Order: sequence, then C-alpha cells, then structure tokens
Amino acid sequence: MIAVDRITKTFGATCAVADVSFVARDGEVTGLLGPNGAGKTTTLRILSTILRADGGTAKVDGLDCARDATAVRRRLGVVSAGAGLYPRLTAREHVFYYGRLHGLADRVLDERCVKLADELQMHDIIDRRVAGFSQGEKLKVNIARALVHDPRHVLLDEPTNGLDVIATRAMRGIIKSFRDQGRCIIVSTHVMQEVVALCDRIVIVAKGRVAADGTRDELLARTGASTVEDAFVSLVGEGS
Amino acid sequence: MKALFVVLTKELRDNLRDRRTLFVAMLLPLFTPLTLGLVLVWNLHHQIERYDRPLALPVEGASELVEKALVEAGCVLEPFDDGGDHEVALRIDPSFDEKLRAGVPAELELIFDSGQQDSARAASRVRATLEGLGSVIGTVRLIERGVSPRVLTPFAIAERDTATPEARMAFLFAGVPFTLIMLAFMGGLYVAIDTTAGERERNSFEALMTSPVSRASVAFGKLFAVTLFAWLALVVSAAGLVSLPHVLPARALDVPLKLDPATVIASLVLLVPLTCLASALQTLVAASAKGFKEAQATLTYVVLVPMLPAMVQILVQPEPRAALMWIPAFSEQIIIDQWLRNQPVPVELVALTVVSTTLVALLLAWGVTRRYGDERTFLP
Repeated sequence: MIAVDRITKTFGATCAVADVSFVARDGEVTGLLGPNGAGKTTTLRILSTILRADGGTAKVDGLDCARDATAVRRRLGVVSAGAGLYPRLTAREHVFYYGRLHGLADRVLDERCVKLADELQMHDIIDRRVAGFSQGEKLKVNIARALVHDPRHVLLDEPTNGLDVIATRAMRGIIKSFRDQGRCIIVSTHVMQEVVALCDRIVIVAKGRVAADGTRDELLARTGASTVEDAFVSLVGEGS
Repeated sequence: MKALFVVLTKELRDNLRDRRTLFVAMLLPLFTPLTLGLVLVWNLHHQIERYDRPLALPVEGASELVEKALVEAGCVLEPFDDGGDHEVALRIDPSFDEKLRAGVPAELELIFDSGQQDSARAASRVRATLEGLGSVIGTVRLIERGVSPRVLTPFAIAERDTATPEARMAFLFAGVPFTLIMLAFMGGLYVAIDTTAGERERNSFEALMTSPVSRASVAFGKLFAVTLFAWLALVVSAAGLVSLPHVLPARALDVPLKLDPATVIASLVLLVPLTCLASALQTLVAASAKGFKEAQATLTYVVLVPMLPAMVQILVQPEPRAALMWIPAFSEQIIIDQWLRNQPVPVELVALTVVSTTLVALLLAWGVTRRYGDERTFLP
C-alpha cells in the first residue's frame, strides 16, 4: 500500500505540490489525473525518492520515502515514458545494469531477461542497441529495467505517451496484469481514456492539490456528470 | 562497493563504444610520441646536414691551398656556373696565390643567400673552414718572423658550461611533460560529460537514482570511469614514448632525453593523483551543466586552467622548490621535466606534490558527492 499524506514541494517561487494526500491500495490501479503542471510528476518523484517533500509524508508499505529511501526503492518499479536509455547499450544490457544495481546475480538476471522478454514480447530486440528504437520499443526496455527486481509496486508516469494504438493496448494489458498479480499500481496521466480504461480509483489533481478522490462511479455521482470528462471539468474548472 | 563497481563497468563498456571518447583516449595521446619522433628525426637530419654531408661547392678561380682545405672539410668542388642553383659558391681572386705569397691581404668572396637557412648554414660551414686555414697561415707567418703566435692572443676566455649534456636540449623537449599534463585533463573529458550532463540530457539520471544504491556509489563509479579513461590516454602516450627508441634510427636518440621505461612509468604513477583531480573537477563542472553542449562549452575553459602554469613552466623552467610544489599540474610538470632531463628531484618535493594534488582531488571528489546529494542534479 502506498499512502501520501499532505505532502508539499516548492521549487524556488513555484509551488509544485501544495497539499496532496491519497491512498493507493494493493491489487488496484490508482490513477493520478490532472492537467499538465498539476503536480502529478512531482508527487511520483517524491514517492520514488528522487525528490524529498518539503512537508508531509509519503509511505510505501509503511516505509517512509525520505528516511527509508533505499528500502522504498527496492519495493518500487518506476516507469516514466520520458525516461531516457543509453543508446550504446543493448536492451539486455539495460536489464542487466539495473538488475545488478538491485544486487541480483547474473544467473538470476539471465532468467529474468527471458521472462521479461516473454511478457513484453521483446525477444527480437533484446540484443540490439537501443539507438534507433521506436517509442514503443524504448518503452518496453523502460518497463523491463523497472521490473527487473520484481518490485512489489509500480509507479507509471504518462506510460502511454507517444505510443500508437496497438502499443497503448499492449501497455494497458501489462498494467492490468500487474494489478492481477496483487501489486499496487499508480498511473499518472492527463489522458481521460486511460483513466476510464484502467483505473479502479481516480485521484484528480489540480494546481498542486487533490480536487477529488474516489472510484469512477463515486466521482460521477458526486458531480452529477455523465462522463468522467464532464466530472473532471466540473471538479477542476474550465480554466485549468 | 559492489554498486560502485557495477556503475564503473557499465560506464566503461558504454563509453568504449563511443567514437569520440576512443579518439581522445587512444589516438590523441599518440600525438606526443609522434611529434617528438618527428623532432628527433629532424634533429638528426639537421646534424647530418651540418657536419657530415658532402657539400657541393662551385669555385671560380683557383688556389691549391684553399681547394685542398675545402676538400678535406668535405666539400665537393665544382666548376663555377652562374646559372647554377647552389647553396653557396666561392670566388677566388685571380691573383690570390700571388698576394698570399707577397703577404698582402688576398680576397675570397663567399656567395650565399642569408634569407635561406640551408644557404646560410652551408656558408658558415665554408667560412669556418676558410677561417681555420687563415689562422693556420697567420700563425706560420708569425713563427717565420720569429714572433710567438701568442702575441695575437692577449687573453684567453675559458668557458665552462655547467649544464649537463642532458639539460642543453631540454628546451626542445619541454613539450613532453606539458602534453602529458594536458592528456590528464583531456583523456576523460568526454566521459565526464557523458556520465553526468549526458545522463541528465538523456533523462536517464532519474531511473538510475531510483535504484537502491547510495548516491556516493554512483558518483564514485562515474568518477573512477573518467579517471581510468584519462589514465588510459596517458598509458597510450607513454607506450608510444617508450617505443620511440625501437622505432627511430639509433643516432636520432643520441639526445639528452631520458626515455627509458623506468622514467616514463614513474611519470605515469606521479600523474595518478592529477588524473583523479582532473576527473573530479570535470565531473563537478559537468554535473552542474544542463546538457552535453553546455558542459562541453564550460569544460573547454576548464581544460585551459592547467595550461597557464604550464606555459610559465616552459618559458621560465623553474627549479623544483617547496614554494612551487603545492600547485597541482604545475608541480607534476616541473618534476617530469627534471626526470626527463635526468636530474634528480628531492623525494620530499615529490611527496609534497603527491600529497597536495591528492588533497585537492579529494576536496573536489567531496564536491561531486555533495552535488550528487542535491536532487536538482538528476532532474531534466
């Protein structure tokens, strides 16, 4: 379980996160939905221990992201569509690099590589250098390196950005399989369809604050809207 | 510790596949031995030119005495030809022998072009021969007249050159330690940029930092990779220097430059702290840059920093002394310069250099770990 309690984060004069609290349960996909610049990525970066919150706490399975950063990192797999790869390394070398950083033995990593290549259907690209990979291929490498240590929970930042329809559907399939394995999944996105298709719970974030939090039906009931998009607009306001 | 090794091996593997890095680490270092080899071969050629080569010398007029002296000095006498393309020619006064016998000044005319080095050099060679002959004739005349030739030498100037034979040509070779210092700063440059600013520009820093390893392990893994590449450049250069005696004609190395393996290896070891210092400095600067280009632009200036004292060293050639030896790069250059000239350097001065450079390197490395503790370092 991942619990975020009243976290704040400012960069200079810019307040990226003013007050965000939510709970993401195991076996569920929690969607962080919000316009660009709402504070979704900053929230995920605090959870993944890249940033330290100025105030409030973020906990993964009860472990504090600031104080027990290393333990938290072991439990999390972080996938960011914007994350870069090393163009001169092959897909397999990426998996091995991150696996070794997680302390896994090469023998174990050989097996993990086969399993991940099966799951992500990347046998054809596993020994190619990633320079020149398509967006979808890069994302597969990205996911493979994030999952190499079989993390308990997975954070995904805009996971379908830049993917075509087929790759997007495949991505959704992967996320659902994570959920079915009992993991706790947080997906940040600004794409409405994504939320409708994937998320069990939706946390709407705007201007660094949580505007609403609940299941799809709860949000519709609360706003009296007929679609999630209408509910979103009525909660966040046209101006956002 | 294991994580440090994982980061190090990844950076080595990754950067060994980068053409730019390889060029700087493997090809650029060959510049020093190649240039030095050329200088040595040129020097040998120059010496042969000056002393040994038969010199074609067109002569107008005749004088048995002069001709004999010139032939003995290695000149090949040829008939005078106005249109000929010669470095130097000699015109002998038609009444030269008569005047000589009469004891009146006889005339010899040396024709050359002082604007051309080859011509001036050949002329001075002929002039030296003729002056030698003149002085012999003068001495004989004095003796014939019962006068001691000593009257023409009211005093004697004794010269004692205190430079060891090795030191005399040292100026020519001052460039060797200089290029080694530059290599310590150039060898790992691209690796320093790629592993920090490059990582940031590619957006791969964040993913790396979500792995459960300490930031110090990542920082030092990268630092050591940069250092190893800088040192690789030095080793390539040193290997080139040591192999020069095996490639060049033996006489070319008849110069006051000590290029034996022991000296070169000692220099390599002396430069280890300096490569660490350079790598830490570059990593620190590159980690503060937003991207590859910004880092490259800034680091171009950083590479210039050790150049200033280096220039001073070449021009002033200061003796090693404690007041100078705490300055990193400068002190290493002075020591290697002395070693190459086969002049011993007091152990305590070498120790001072190593300690001082190591301390500065540690300070910079501490700066790097602090930089890696700052979350802004990893954000795109």
